[in-house]
Amino acid sequence: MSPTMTGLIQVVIGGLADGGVYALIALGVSLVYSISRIINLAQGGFVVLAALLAVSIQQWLGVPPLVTVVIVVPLFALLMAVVERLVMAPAAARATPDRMLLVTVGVLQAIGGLLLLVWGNLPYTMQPFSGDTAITIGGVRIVSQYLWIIGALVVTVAALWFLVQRTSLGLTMRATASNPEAAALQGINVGRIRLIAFSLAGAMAALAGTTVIPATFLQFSTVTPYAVAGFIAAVAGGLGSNVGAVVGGLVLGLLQGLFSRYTSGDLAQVIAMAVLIVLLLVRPTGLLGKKSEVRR
Amino acid sequence: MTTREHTTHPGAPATGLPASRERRVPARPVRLVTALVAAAVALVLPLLVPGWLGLLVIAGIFFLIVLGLNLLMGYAGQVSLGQTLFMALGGYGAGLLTLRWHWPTLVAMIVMAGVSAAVAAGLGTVFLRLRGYYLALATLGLAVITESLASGLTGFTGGPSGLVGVPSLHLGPWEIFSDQANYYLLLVVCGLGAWFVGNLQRSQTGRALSAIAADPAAATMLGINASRYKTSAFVVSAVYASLGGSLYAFYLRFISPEVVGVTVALSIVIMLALGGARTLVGPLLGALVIQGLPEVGQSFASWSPFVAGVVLILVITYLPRGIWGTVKKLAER
Repeated sequence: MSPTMTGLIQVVIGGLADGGVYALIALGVSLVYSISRIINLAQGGFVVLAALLAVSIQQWLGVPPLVTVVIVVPLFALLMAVVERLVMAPAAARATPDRMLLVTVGVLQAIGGLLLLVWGNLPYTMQPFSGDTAITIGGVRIVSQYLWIIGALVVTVAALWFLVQRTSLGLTMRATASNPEAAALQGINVGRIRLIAFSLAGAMAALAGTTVIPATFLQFSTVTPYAVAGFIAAVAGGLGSNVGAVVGGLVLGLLQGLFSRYTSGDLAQVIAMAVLIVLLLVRPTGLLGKKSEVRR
Repeated sequence: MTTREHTTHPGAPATGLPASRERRVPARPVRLVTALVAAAVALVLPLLVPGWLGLLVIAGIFFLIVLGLNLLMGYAGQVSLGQTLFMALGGYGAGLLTLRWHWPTLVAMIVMAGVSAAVAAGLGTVFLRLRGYYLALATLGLAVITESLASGLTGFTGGPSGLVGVPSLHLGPWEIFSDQANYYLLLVVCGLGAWFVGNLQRSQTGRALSAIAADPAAATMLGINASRYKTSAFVVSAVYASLGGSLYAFYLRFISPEVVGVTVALSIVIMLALGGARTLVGPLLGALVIQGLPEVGQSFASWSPFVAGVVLILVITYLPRGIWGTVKKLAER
C-alpha cells in the first residue's frame, strides 16, 4: 500500500477510536433522555472523572490498568444513582426541561471544579491495558488501546440491546420511554426505571473513561469538549435512538479525524461543528431520530 | 399604567412558576428614588473599595452581556449558549481594526457592534426556527466554533496566545486607561443598557416577546410576527455582547481564545439563571457572584468552580426565579 493510503487508514482508525468514546457518551445521554427526557450534559464530565479516578486507583493499589475497569464501572453505576436521587430527581420535579439542561450544566461545572480541587490542573494518562503494543496489518499500525475502546463500545451496544429487547426490565424501560404516564398507570415504578437508566449511564461513562485514558491525556478542562461532543453526537444521531447515538459518535470522531489531517485540529473542530449545525437545520430530527417536534 | 401583566410559560428558562396574576409595580417616585440611591452608591463605590475596581469592571462587562441575553432568554424564552460568538466579534474585531489598521477605537467598537447585529440577523432567521434543546445545541455549536476559530486562525487572531497590545479606548481627548476610568465608563454604558432593556420590557415589544415565550402559536394568532421579534431580540443581545467584548479587549488590552471559550459561554447563561432572569438587578447580581467568587480568598480560588456549580444546581432547583427574583417575591409579600 502507498504511504498516503496507510496514512489515511491510520487517520480513519484514530477517528473511529475517538468516535467510539463519543458514541459511549452519546449512548448514556440518549438512554437517560429516552427514559427521563433529561439531556444530561454532564455525561462527558463523568467520563473524565472516571478516567482520573482510574489513574489514582491504579497508582494506589498498583493493580494492572485493566483491573481499574472492574472497580470504577460499578462505582460509577452507584455514583450516578446517588446523583439521580440527590440532584436530578429533585430538580426534575420542579424545573422545566429547558432549565433541567442548566442543572446538568451545573453538575458539569461542579465535576470540573472537583477535578481541579483533587487532581489539580495537570494532565494525566495511564499505561495501556495490554502494554505499549501495537498491531501492524499491511503497514497500518493500530495502537492496541484503540481496539479496547472499540471493544468496549461493541460490548456496551450488545449488552444494551439484549437488556432492552430481550428482558422484561427492557420491556418496562421501552414502555416508560414511549409514554411515562401510561407506563405509570400500568403499575410500572417510573422512578425506579429512571434510577436504573442513570445508573447504566454511569457505568457507560466509567467504561468510556477507563478505556480512553491510556490513549490520551485528560485534565479538568477536558470535561467541556467531551460533554459537548457527547451531546452533539446524541442529538445528531437522533435523541433517544441508541443506534443513532453510536452512528453520531463515530461520524463525529471520523469527521474530526479526517479534517484534522488536512487542517489544524481547531479548524477540523470548526468544520465538524458546521456540518452538524447544517445537519440540524436540514434534518432536525437527527440521522436516525423519529421525533418531529424540533421546529415550529 | 400602574399594573402590567406578568406572563410565564413552561419554556421560560428562569421563571417557571405560574404567576399570571396582576402585580403592582412601584409608583414612579419610588422607582426614581431607588434608581438615584443606586446611582449614588455606584458613584462613590470606587472610593469605598478601591481594591475591587478591577473585579467591578469585569463584572460590569458581564452585566452588560447578560442584560442582552436576558432579553433573548428571559423575555423571549430562547436559550442561546453562543453569546461568545458576538463577544469574539466585538473583542477580536475591535482589537484587529485598531491594531492592524489603526482605526479610532470608538469607531472600531461601533462598527463591530453593527457587524455583530448583521451576523445575528442572518443567523437568527435560520437558527431561531429551532426550538428548545435544538436551539441550545446549535448555539453551543457556535460557541465551539468561536473558540476553535479564535485559536485556529493563528495568523489572524494570534492563536492560543491571543492578541496582545490592543490600545485603550479613546473618547475624544480622553484615554480610558485606569480601572477607575473604565469603571465610570461601564457605569454609563450599563446604565444606558439597563434603561433600554427596562423600557423595552414595559413596552409593547416586551409584551410581544413574553407572549411568544408563553405560547408562540397564540402569539402568532394575535398578529405578532414571532420570528421577527425573536430575531430582533437576538440582534439586540448580539450588540450587547459585542460591546461587552470590545470593552473587555480595550480594558485588558488583550484578548485570547480563553476569554471567548465555551466555558465562558456557559457561565454567561449561569449568571443569568443565578441572578434571576426577567429582572434588571438579577444579571448584575449573577455577574458579581460568578466573577466575585474566585476573589473571596486565595485558598478559596481553587474551590470557586466547584462552588459555582453547586450553587447553580441549588438555585435552579429551589429558587426558580434566581436570587433576585426570589428576593423580589419575598419583598412583595
